Amino acid sequence: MNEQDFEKLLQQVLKAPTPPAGLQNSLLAVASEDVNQAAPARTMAAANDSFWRRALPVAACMALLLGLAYRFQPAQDTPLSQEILRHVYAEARFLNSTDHVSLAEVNSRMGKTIKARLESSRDTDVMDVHFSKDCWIAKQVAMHLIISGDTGPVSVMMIPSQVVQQETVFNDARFTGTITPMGSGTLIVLGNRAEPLGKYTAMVQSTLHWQY
Amino acid sequence: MTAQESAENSVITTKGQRRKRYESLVRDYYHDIFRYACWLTRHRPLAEDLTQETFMRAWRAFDSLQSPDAAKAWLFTILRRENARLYEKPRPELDDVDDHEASLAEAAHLEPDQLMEASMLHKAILALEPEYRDPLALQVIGGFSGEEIGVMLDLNNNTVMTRLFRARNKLRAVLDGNIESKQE
Repeated sequence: MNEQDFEKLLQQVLKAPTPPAGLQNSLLAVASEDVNQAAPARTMAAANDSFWRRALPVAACMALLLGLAYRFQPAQDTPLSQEILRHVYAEARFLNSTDHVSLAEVNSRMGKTIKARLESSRDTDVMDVHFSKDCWIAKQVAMHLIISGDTGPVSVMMIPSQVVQQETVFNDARFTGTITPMGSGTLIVLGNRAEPLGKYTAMVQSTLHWQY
Repeated sequence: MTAQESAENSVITTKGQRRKRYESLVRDYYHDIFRYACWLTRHRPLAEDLTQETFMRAWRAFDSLQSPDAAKAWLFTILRRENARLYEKPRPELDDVDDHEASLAEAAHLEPDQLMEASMLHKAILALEPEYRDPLALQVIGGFSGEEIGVMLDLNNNTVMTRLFRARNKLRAVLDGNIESKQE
């Protein structure tokens, strides 16, 4: 192979990976969502002080009301919960996926990535999974499923090592989530604020088997 | 218009301009950022996450970008830092080769024979030591010069050029060896 052909092939191979559909929109959405607190806040605070003087008391009252409305559960804002929320927002486009993933497909992927499987049961057999992907949470490979919940999509993430000592509840304005130690691993369940998450935790608890 | 209204309008304009510049950055560079992330992580889902993190960081720190000319190198540097921060823990090798081969065939419109060579080259690039693969990917995907790569990898220009030369030699040796053994 001559030099020119080699360089051409090298270009083709190195540039072959194509971004998944929807990635561009998701990256553009970063600028629309309120994930950028630092820079715009600095600009606005300097130029628009009176706006904040008016808005802050209102925001504080709303936060108080939201906090009271939320089942009086002690929510914790930890680096892990922030990472989970960031991850879910980054993949928000998958929340309304209409795909259907069978339990066999889920188990095949889980076996390869986190060495675990979900047993077939009355609950898991009717579980409507519409997204399944390995992702990176808490500095390790994790399995991320999105299933249909009572009030909307529910994210179920399984991490093959224990990253918390006890159940942790966390939330933001849109989502509520739990992080639960499960055997030698960790389960994260996250859904809309009104979603009853306990039943998904119980379902995974009774059917999840770590294979190592 | 009052001074307060004028200040509010100016803030809105600044925010709008900032957002427009960010959107243009995404459109211009997200393909290359994703490609480089693929070679850095050797795993598409991780590469996707890494691309997301890179642009999220870029948006947050957008005001620190001094000149549009520096944008590409700035993004690649953020990506490398994020990769080190998020994925520094050793992880199991995940088999993502099939995905790349599918991309290869689709992206480069290759004939079956060419696809075989491309596939060999793809595996050879994956098998390269990171010290060779990394500058090669930065040069080919990012279009960076030896000096620019040196700044990103904290190496001097001569070392970068040597590694690029050796990387190509290693890949050619694999390809030539395979082609010869096919002809025998």
